[in-house]
Amino acid sequence: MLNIAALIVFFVLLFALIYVFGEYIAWIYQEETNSKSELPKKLNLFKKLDRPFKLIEEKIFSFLNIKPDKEMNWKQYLFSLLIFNGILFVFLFLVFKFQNILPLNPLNLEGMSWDQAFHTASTFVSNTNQQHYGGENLSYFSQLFAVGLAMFLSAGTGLALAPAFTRGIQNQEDSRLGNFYVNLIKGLIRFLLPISFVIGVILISQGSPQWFGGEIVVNTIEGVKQAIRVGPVAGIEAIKTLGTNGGGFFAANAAHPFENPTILSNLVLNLIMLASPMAIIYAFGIWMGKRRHGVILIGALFVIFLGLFWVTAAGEMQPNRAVTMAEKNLNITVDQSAGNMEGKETRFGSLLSSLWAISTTSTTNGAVNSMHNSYSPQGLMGPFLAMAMNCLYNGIGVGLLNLMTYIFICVFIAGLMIGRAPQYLGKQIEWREVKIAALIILLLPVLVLFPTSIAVITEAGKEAIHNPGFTGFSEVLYEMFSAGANNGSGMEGLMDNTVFYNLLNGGAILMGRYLPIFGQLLIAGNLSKKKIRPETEGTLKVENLSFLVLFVGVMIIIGGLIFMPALAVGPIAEMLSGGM
Amino acid sequence: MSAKKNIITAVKLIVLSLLIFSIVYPLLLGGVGQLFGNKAEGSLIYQNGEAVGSRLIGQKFDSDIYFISRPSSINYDATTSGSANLAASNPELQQRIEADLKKIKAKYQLGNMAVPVDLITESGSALDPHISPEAAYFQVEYLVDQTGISESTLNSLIEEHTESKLLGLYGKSRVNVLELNLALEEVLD
Repeated sequence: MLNIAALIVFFVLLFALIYVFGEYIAWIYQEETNSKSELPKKLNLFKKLDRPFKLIEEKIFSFLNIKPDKEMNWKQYLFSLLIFNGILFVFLFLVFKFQNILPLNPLNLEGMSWDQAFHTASTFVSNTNQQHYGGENLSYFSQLFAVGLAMFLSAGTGLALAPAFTRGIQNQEDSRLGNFYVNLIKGLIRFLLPISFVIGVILISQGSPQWFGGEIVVNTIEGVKQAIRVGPVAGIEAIKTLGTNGGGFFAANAAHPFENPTILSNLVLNLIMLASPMAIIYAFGIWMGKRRHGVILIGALFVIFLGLFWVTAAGEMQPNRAVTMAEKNLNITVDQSAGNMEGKETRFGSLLSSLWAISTTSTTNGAVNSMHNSYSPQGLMGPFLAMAMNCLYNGIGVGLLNLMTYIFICVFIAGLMIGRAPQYLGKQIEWREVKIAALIILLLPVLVLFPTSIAVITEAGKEAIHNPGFTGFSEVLYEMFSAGANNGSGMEGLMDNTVFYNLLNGGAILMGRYLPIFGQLLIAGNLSKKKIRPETEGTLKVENLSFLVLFVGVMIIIGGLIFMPALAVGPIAEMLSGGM
Repeated sequence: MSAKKNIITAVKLIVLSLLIFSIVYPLLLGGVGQLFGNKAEGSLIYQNGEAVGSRLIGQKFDSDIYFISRPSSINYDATTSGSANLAASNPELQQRIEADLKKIKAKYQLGNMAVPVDLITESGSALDPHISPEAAYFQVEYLVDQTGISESTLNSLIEEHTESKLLGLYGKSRVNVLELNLALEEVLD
C-alpha cells in the first residue's frame, strides 16, 4: 500500500514537472515553431526572463555571425547539424586519445586506445553515453572538456530537432524549418544550462562533490588507508540526467554514492530524467495548438511505461535465486523480504531501483542506479522491452521524432482500416512518408540483431561474455540494444573494451543516431511543402480512445514483437529454466 | 550557409561552449557548492582533526569490535567502483554467497535468527555506506561479547543512527556503518 502511495505521489510530481517544463520549452521556441498557443497566464513570469536571455543570445549570434531570420530548409538544417556534430566528434576523439598529454590530469591517467576513443567519441556525440571504460579512467580534462561539453551539445542538438520537425507539420507550403544554430543556442542557454545549474546545486546539497582535488587519502579507524576519488561530479551528473545522456562520472554510475548520495537526490534525478523528454512531447501539443493531443500521447506511452515497470518491480521484489539456493544448501535462513538486493544500494531498495531501471531505458538516458546484470530474468524483461520499443519518451528532442515516426505508421494503418486517406494534424501522410518511417523503424532490428548474431558466432564476440548460460547471451543482446537504440545503459558484465566491440557498437551508435535523424528531417521537409487540409467529418480523429488503443497496439506489435525471438533466447529462456 | 561558413560557425561555437560549459559552469557550481560546507568536497568525517573517511563512501571493517559492512568485490577501494555484476544464475554468485554465509554462521550465533539479505549481497556501487537496521541489530549480540558494551547501549546507538525513509515513503531505512562505528568507538573510549 505504502509503495502505491509512494508511486502516486511520484507520478503527480512528475506530471507537474512535465507541465512546467513543457510550457517553458514551448515558450522558448514559440516563434521558431510558429506556435499556435500562448503561455498560460499563471506562468507569465517566464516572460521576465526573456530580456536577459535575449541579450546573451544576441551577443552569441553576432559573435558567430548568425542571422536568426535566415532560415534553413531540411537539407540545410541536416547539413549544419552534421557538420557541427562532425567537428565535435573529431574534437572528442582527440581529447580521449591524448588525455595523457593534456592538462588537468593529476593522476597521470593514460590516453585511450584508438578504437576505444572512437567508441567513446561516437557515444558522447550521439547522446548515447555507452561506456566501455570506467569513469575513474578519465582525467578531469576529459570529464569537463569532452564529456561535460558533449553532454550539453548533444542534448542541445536533440532539442533543436523538435522545433524544426514541428515546423514541418505546421508549415503551409513553405519549406523553411528554422535555423539550426538558433534552435541549438536557445535550447542550451534557456533550458539546459540554467536547469542543470539548479539540479547541480540540489545535488551538492545532498553530498555530490564539485571539487577539483583529485584523490583524498584518509586513514580509517582500523588504521588502513582508503583513497577516495572525487571530482566535479555534481555538474556532470545534472546535465547527464537532464540531457538524457547517462554517462557516469564513476564506473558505478548513479549507484555511486557521490553521483546519487541520498534518496532525495535519487527522486530528483529520476523525475528530471523522465520529465525532460516527456515535456517535449507535451510542448509539441502546445505548438500545434492542441494541448490535449500532447497529453494523450504522453498518456498512451505512460500505459506502456507502467506495464513495464510492473513487470520489473514484481521481478525484483522476489528473492534472488542464488541466495535461495545457498540457503537450502547450507540450511541457514536468510531474510529476503527486501527482495533481490544483489547489485542494489541499501538506500534505494528494489522499488526505487526498478523505477529507475524502466525510466532510464524508456528515455534513452542510460544511467543506472543498480546493476541490471544482477536482475532476475523477469526484472530484466522491462528494460529490454523499453529499449526495443525505442519510442517511449526516448531521448531529448529525438524522442518526439521517433514518436512521430510511429504515429505516421499508425495513421497509415488506421487509414487502410477505414478506407480513408491517412492524415495527421491536417497533413496528408503519403506513401513516401510511410516508406521512410517504415525504414526508420526497421533500422533498429538491423542495428541490434545483426551485430548480436555476429558477436555470438565469432570468438572475439564470445570471449567478452562474463556470465555463463542464457545471461551471457542477454549481455550481448543488451549491449547491442544499448548501442543501436542510443540508450547507453549496460548490463556491465560484458568485457566490452575490445577492438571488436568498440568498432561494432561505435558504428551502430552513429547509424542509430544519424540515419533516423536524416529520415525524420526528410519527412519534415516533405510535409512542410504540403497544404494543410481542414479537418472534416471524414478526417481520422487522432484524439479519441480508439486511436489511442491502436497506437499502443502498433507500438507493442511493431516495437516489441520484432525482438521476441531474440528475447526468447535470453531472459525468457532463463526465466523458463527456473531462474525467476 | 555554405560548407566553409558552417565549419567556421561550428568551430567558433564549440570554442565558446568550452568556455561556458566546461569552465564557467563547473567553477560557478563549485563556488556555490562552498555554501554547503564540506559536502562539495566529499563529505569527509574527522576524528581528532584527522579525516577518517567519507560519510558517503563505505568502508570495510575487519576488526571484531566493529559493525561490518556489505560484501564488496573491490574491498571498498574508492579509486574505482561497481559490483562484480554476477547474474543470479551464475554459479560464482552462489559460491560467494555460500562462503559468506558460512563465515557469518561461524562468527555470529545464529540461533533462530535469519541472516539479513544485505549482509550477503553486494551493492551496485560496491561502496555502499549503509546497511539495513536489521543487519545492524543482527550483529549486536556478537558485539556485546566482543566489546563488553551492553546490549541496550548498542541498540540505542543503532536507533540513533537509523535514517528513516524519505517522507516515510521512499527508499529504505538504513544505518551508516562508519558513523555507527565511530559512535561505538566513543563509547569504548
